Amino acid sequence: MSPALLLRAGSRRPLAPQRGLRRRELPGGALVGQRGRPELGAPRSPGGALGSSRGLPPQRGLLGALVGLRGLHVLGPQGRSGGVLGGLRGLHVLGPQGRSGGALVGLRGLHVLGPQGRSGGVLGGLRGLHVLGPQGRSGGVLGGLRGLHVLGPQGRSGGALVGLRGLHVLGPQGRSGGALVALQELLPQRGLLGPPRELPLQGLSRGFAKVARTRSSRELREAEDSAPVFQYVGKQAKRKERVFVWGFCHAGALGIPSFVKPDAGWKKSRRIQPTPYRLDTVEKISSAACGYGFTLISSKTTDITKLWGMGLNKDSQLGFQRSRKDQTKSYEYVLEPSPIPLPLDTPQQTRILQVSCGRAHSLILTDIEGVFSMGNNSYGQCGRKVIKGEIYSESHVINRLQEFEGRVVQVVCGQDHSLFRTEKGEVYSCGWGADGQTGLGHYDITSVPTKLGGDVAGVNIVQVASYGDSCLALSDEGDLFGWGNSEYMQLASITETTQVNVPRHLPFKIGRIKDVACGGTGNAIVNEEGNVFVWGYGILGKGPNLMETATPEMIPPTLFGLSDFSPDTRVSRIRCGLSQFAALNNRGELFVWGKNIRGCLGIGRMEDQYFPWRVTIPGEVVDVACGVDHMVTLVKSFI
Amino acid sequence: MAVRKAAWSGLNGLFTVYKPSGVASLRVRDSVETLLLKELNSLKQPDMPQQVRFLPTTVEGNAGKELTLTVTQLPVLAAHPLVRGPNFTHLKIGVGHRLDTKSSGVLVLGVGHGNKLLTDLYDAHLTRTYTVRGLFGKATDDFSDTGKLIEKTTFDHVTRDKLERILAVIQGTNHKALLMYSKIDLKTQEAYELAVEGLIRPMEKTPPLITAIRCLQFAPPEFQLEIQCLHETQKYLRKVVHEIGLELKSTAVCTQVRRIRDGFFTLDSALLRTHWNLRNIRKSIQDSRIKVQVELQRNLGHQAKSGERHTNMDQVTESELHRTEGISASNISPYAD
Repeated sequence: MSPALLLRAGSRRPLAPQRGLRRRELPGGALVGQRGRPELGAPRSPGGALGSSRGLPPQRGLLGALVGLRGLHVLGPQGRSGGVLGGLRGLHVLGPQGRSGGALVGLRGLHVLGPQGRSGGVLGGLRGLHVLGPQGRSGGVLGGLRGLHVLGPQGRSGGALVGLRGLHVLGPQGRSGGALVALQELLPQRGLLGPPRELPLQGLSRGFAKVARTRSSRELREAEDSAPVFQYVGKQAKRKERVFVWGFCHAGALGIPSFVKPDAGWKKSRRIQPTPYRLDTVEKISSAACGYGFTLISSKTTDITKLWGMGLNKDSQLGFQRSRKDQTKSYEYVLEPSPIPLPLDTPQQTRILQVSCGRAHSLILTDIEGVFSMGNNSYGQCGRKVIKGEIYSESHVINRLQEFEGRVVQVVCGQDHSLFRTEKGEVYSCGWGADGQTGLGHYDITSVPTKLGGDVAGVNIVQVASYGDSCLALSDEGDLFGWGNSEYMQLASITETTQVNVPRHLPFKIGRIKDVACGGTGNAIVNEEGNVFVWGYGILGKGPNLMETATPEMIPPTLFGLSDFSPDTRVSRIRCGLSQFAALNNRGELFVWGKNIRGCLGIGRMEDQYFPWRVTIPGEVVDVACGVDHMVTLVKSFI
Repeated sequence: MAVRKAAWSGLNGLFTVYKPSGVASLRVRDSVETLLLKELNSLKQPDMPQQVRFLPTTVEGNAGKELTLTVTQLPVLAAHPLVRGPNFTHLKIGVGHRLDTKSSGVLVLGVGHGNKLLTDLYDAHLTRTYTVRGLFGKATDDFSDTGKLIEKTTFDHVTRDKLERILAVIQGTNHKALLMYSKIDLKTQEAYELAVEGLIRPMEKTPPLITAIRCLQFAPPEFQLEIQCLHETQKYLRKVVHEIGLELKSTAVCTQVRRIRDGFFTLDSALLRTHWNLRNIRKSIQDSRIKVQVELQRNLGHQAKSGERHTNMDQVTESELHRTEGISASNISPYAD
């Protein structure tokens, strides 16, 4: 007999034949034994228990307590045998103090104190059942499905049958034990009961107190051995992918609508989320990017929906988000991750590799269909011709860029310009160039992606970085190249001019560089040994005394978790927001520092952080994307 | 008395004993006191003082028995040990940081004037190191293997790598808590320099903080950790083991907690049960006298000098334990201006 059968409310399980069944109609409207068939019980008593309002345990020679559906409080009979039938909801039943008692309990929120008789069967209903097993000699406890707390009977034979979820079961301390006990234990009460000629004082009423019994170490050991073993996670369990967000909420960039528009009375809208908050996503997110007030997240799936956006959409940087109220209009603020439909030729084969966001435009890199751009194009940053007087809000235009020699493998958005890096190691750019950030030798805007020259020509570039108006590029040999804005001393080591419009080699002796990041006013790199170097202007991470420097300064590795107890901790990745830095070490810890604009550092405080500070995230951080006033992290769970 | 002075002279200061498991620390203190008293009382007593008494005796004289006074030398009974009782009945012995009954390890005791040093030791807020053994597979109500069983779980999915990941997280969060409880203004250059140098320690009462944790052995279901902590209790350490089990989606209980270092007292100087006698204790006090003086002065002097500042560096213990040249802690003078 499977447990499932037993627990189903409508099951009819004929127990031993009964005698003297009494049917009663209760004011609550519950007619016990409604199907007209007494199914429970044996005259002698029994303990059998069957859930739901069926049948009636006969109490021969005793008071039987039959209870109806709701909110009944019943004190079990003090007789020899007693059966208690509980109704459905909120039943509090004190098991009979008889020798044998059966407690039948209903479905929800039942609290049953097992009978102190010798045999007792307790059947629990479905939810939230708290059952104290009988202290009789034999007892069977049948638990329901959810949230059952069952103390096994302390009888000699006991079986605890428990349901599925979240169960806490203490195995019976009896001689025969076993988590799952067939109903045979419950049903044929005769064998369990024994003859009712027992000592009359056995079942003296003591309220809730139990007779103290010292248990020998052998008994304890046996009880322990017979306890059920739970498995929470299998041997090949996969680690779960999660996304955590924090920062400024009002633009909707975090993707949690209740922060902006609370959906329950007790919730309050919050302006800032100061610590990491989990964002529930439909798919596993492989790439995330934060722009100025908006966020893009993408997945490497081949499903049709692979790109979601949230936050500011006044320049259609999140595409056209059809409003539900008016089909012709698009949302200006998107509060939760909404799919962005891309005009792909093969939507079920193309995968999105990377996304990038700038001030008001965004770039999406796919594996076989090239680069897509959307959003503001006033300076040609989307790679298409500037149309005078174009209105960018509620626009359906998503441009596909194909003027590259070779496959694009990385896209980077600066504030109002775009950089593309191809497989061959060439760099293309387009957009606003007044600071020379396009690196094409002039200070005009460019609306068509054009190849860069200068010191970068002929060099195999493996990474480009930009977020504001200055740019950095890294070659495969570990050399660094920079161009763009130099007002904040980013390139002051090689030139006095404040704008550099041609890529120039930066001859720093800081080891072989592995990762670069370029922020609004400060730059940072990680070298092969895992050391972080910073230069530029602003809060650089070496205390309030270091506010600007033209040459890179190293941040001591002890601030990133290096210690005697963990001597091989290294920084593996560095990222920049507009005025913040984020570093990931090889243990998956995230360290942030910089200006704490609207709580974007996620450290729980609103003050600026002058040296690297660890962010507490429940997981191992895989990647981080920094924006102006918010951050998004891709995290793997620990186990 | 000369005897007392000679006996007392060596018995003022701090010494360490190795507390065995299963015995309360106060009982250990009592045993040490009893043993010392027994030895002190069995020391050679000076000769009992004698007195000259003129006692009446009868002497055979000319006319029968005559009463005369005879000179005798008798011992002064008032000085007899059976009259006065034992010489030493009480020794002031205090316990430093206690260990609960189930744990074992280094226990600092102070005798005589050394009890004042115990207060100083407490105020120095030094860290302590424990080796903790755990067992995967079950959870009990008091987090140790002798408690009531709550749940049994599987643990075949637990690997050393996962354990180390959890330990890294514990270390990171505790390090952050350490900085936060140290109550320094994080916006100052001083805070940055202290954070770079390594251990900042809060110099006042805080919740238990773990300054370092690592896995020494891993052989499922057993594992052993080394935990360096501050303001802890042994029950807290057992709870940490329990929580590590939960974090690994299994359960764990703690089987052994053993303190291997208390401040600057290590296992090397701890006296075993068979060595609890006057000679060894005197020697132990003597050997550690200078070290105690220097360390306490360094830790407390620095605190007094900096006044309100509640931070300090655990330099000595670090350099002693790990003997590394890389970390600059031991190179920095505490009196740098």
